[in-house]
Amino acid sequence: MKKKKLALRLAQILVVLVGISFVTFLLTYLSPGDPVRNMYTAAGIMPTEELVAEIREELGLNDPLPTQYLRWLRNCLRGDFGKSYTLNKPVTELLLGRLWPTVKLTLLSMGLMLLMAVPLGMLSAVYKDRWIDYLVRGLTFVGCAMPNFWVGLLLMLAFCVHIKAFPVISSAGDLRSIFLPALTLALAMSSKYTRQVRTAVLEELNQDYVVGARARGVRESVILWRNVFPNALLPLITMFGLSIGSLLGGTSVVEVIFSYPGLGNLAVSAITSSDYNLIQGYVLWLALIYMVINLLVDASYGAVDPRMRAKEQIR
Amino acid sequence: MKHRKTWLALLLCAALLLSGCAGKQGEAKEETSQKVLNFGCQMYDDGSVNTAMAPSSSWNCMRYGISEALFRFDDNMNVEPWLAESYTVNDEHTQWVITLKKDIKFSDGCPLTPSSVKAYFDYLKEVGPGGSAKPQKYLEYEAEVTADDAANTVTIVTSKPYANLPGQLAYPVMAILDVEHTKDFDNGAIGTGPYMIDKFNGVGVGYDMKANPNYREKVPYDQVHILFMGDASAKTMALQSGQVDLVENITNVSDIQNFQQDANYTVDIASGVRCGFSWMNLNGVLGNKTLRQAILMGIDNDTICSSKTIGGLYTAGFSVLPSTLSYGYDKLVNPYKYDPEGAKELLDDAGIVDSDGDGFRELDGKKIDLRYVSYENRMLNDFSNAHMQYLAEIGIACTADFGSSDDQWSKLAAGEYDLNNNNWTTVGTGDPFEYMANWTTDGTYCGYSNPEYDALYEQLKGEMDAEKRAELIRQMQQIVIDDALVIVDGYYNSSMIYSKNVGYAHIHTADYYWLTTEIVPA
Amino acid sequence: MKKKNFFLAHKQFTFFLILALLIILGAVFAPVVTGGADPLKGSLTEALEAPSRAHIFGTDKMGRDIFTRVIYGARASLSATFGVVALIFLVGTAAGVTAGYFGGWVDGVIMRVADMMLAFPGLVLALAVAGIMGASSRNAIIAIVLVNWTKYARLSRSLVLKIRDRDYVSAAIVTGSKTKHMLFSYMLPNALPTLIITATTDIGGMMLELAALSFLGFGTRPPAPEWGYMLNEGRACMQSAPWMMIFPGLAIFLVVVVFNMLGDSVRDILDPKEA
Repeated sequence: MKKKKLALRLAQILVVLVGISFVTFLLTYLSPGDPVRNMYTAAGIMPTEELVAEIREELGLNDPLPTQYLRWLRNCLRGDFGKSYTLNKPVTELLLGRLWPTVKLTLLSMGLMLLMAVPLGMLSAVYKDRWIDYLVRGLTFVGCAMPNFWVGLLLMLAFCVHIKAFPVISSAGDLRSIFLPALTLALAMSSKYTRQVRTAVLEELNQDYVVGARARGVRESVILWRNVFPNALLPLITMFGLSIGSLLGGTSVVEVIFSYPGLGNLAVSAITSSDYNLIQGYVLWLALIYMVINLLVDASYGAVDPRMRAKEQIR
Repeated sequence: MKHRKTWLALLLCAALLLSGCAGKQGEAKEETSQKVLNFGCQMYDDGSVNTAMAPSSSWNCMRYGISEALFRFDDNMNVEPWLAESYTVNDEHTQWVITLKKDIKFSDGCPLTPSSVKAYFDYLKEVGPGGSAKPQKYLEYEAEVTADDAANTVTIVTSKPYANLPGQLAYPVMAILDVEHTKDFDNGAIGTGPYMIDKFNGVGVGYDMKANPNYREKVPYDQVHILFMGDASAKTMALQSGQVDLVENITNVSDIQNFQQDANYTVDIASGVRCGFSWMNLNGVLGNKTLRQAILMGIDNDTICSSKTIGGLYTAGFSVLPSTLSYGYDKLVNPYKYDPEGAKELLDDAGIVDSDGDGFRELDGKKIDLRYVSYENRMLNDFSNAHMQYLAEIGIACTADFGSSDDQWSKLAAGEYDLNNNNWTTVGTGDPFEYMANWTTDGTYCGYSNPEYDALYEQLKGEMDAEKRAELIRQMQQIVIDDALVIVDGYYNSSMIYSKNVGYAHIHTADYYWLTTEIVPA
Repeated sequence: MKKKNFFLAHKQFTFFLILALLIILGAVFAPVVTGGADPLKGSLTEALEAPSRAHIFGTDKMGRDIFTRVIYGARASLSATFGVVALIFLVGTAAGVTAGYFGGWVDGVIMRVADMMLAFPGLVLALAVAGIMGASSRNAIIAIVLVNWTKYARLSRSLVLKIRDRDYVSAAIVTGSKTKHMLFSYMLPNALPTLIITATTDIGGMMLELAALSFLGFGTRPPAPEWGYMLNEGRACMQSAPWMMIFPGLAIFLVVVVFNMLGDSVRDILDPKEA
């Protein structure tokens, strides 16, 4: 991607981030609980009304919304996301501690998803309306309809308890611990993605150039790998980028089920204890991760599709 | 180019595999030559071991084998010396001279001296007011502590007589830490116990512990991995799959029964000195006594405790002290036996009726909606759900507020609840004295103030005769019952379950002691 | 007569439509289906019983009949799901049509807001909203609507843009048709088929999202019956009482399958070239 386009994208990300930060801040501002009271309650102390009023003044909670927002934003830019009431530690520290496990889980899930969805989707498209197509379509249909936490629970029952292949509490962070959570996520995502791969490849296969190539006697496998697949990559990458959002959201559920010490798990307990600072931090960080990944995905368009590169050169 | 994407994916997986394996390799080498125990347990108070700040944290510290107190309890709740060697007390019970054992060291190598004991007590005085542990309940702040390092004695002079100071000093908050050298009280406390913290793995995850090289006996395990587990099924599955070797308190009846019948596991059960009960907040709508009485009459404790859900893990009862203890339970009278029709009548007569036809009663024109705070521990949420079900049948609405153990405690301390279910050790210091402080004007968390009760409590403070104490305590129990202050869940029977990897483990009556040197590898 | 032929011709659609209607009727007439049992009442003497003649899906920890709770749970799940889909449909379409028709800064603002929402991983924002506003069924719905309306906005906007510049539209403007008339007579009818297809196929997806929120404990509160929350309750008794987990999960699965198939059939009818 050319520098100008990159800069434009980064600016876009910034704008969106600001917007998101405002939305999350607004949510907290509108929330029914009182942050000062929450802070004291979390320490087991019942504050008097005067104390609450005093602290509110001190923390600047009576200032108008824009002032509070800007102050909060300035702190965020300095890396200070506030302190978690319940855990008594800076939010940044807590989030950083859990960041790498979630990233690991996401990466492994993405890898597994690609490994499963792309081959199956292609097979299903190539052998359209044959038994393998029906099998794949049936399986993916079932897969799309199953709640991912149910799948996780069933997998846990089968593989952790009955066949003792994997640990129940996935806190060790090694491959064996991560595998089942990643598999759960991947299964849920690949059901949808396989169908999308199939559609994309089918569209390509119906193109005129394929008919032409076949007529010229080019071998099927060559057509598939040299022409169809690369052309299908573009929509595939787009759809992949879109599915990452679901993936990141799904980590929260899966981490809870498998007791995996990631961001999602932390977020869920933060939400249970109404720890607003932590929730805000979580939302912002995840939005950032999501956008960075999408940026990378977009950047790969240029590498994948020479037409995109050509377009830029012409401009 | 066309295979680039696939290569990228494969590369990622390979990287992960390598990082995963590399991480585990170091540990694997150690495990083969060292004795390691994997212990699964519930996380309390976010795993903090800060003894001075919150009761649960002090218990964590002692349970994980980090800290030891001057005294401890045997399985009949009698006090015996621990870090102390012996003690003498004057007739007025105001001056105690405690002789420490010789040659005890903290895990950092510093010796345990009377000065370090005094330093710890001074530390409690300093930070106690800022937390919720209330150390003054065990040793008043006014007490004078003198350390004589030469004679190896600590002398404590109290302003009021204590019937049983050693019992008070056996409470986990009073366990001795090396105040001088502990930097991180939350997750790095230094004590004299057999195990010490190697690494805190994070809230919700656990600790890596290692043997205290300076312990006075041989420590059976070189390493202990403490893994926090949220619920009974997690503990059961972790034990079955071999991920842990020992767990405490599986609160699922059929799981326990399965383990009992399986020769590969051993189940050790101790009968209850714990009482599960729900506070009723008198500072809210439950200040109305008729309402409280009706609530008690509407709940069938016996059925709940004998159901498959609770299945005998709790023994039913109506007093805040377990029936197994000798404080006159059989002489107590329960005026609010299960009688749902009677409860409805009582409410109707008091004018607490359902005027708008939604099936739930109103008080002073406002619908009664009790906020029920509870947390998932020892089946408290099941009791809370059961209570809500029974209360719905007599027309009282409740809203569930189930959170973490931390939430439950902080909401209790801050008074943000109508009903708050929790689980207490009743004879925490061998004597129900400071447990019964829960209903004194100064010590209560529910807004109760009864001069009669306070008077009995004051009397109890100064009464040294065991029989007279038992009688005072019986009267106090009856007041709590008559004033309908709590919903008693029952008396909990705690358990420890372990696999063949563990040679022996034992759950004590006082469940402050989990990781002791009794637990040995197979 | 024509109607009957329509239904006979599209057998798949008819079949799944009937199934969907049966599910909805079952939820509406829950008291009839369950023979008057109360999903909130239970007797602890009957707790954790395996499926039997008296309780065909078994009982849960509080002795409540799971079959009754599953049927009544359909009410909560279905009403919430339809609420979500209706709302995102209405809000999204309104926003998108407005943006597409008026263009200019209106378009810019609406689309930037949509972009922003799109930048959120869906469940994450839903969790945040539910967490900050408090756990309840209503907040869960709001949360999911906030995240998912953008799809409809984009869709309707692009459809509107496609026809905005057509001749007949220009002609209508020249002859003085009012904006409202334009929107409702021209823009909407063109956009409607695609939107309906999307909405029907979304029912399944939204139901899964709502169930996920409830599973984590941020949707309906106990003791109200709701499938996601029932799965949460069943998690603790997974080994000893697996029926607590199996039947609610199965219910979610079956309902999502039916509505997904319905959505597919609707697409086949309204837009056959997509098949």
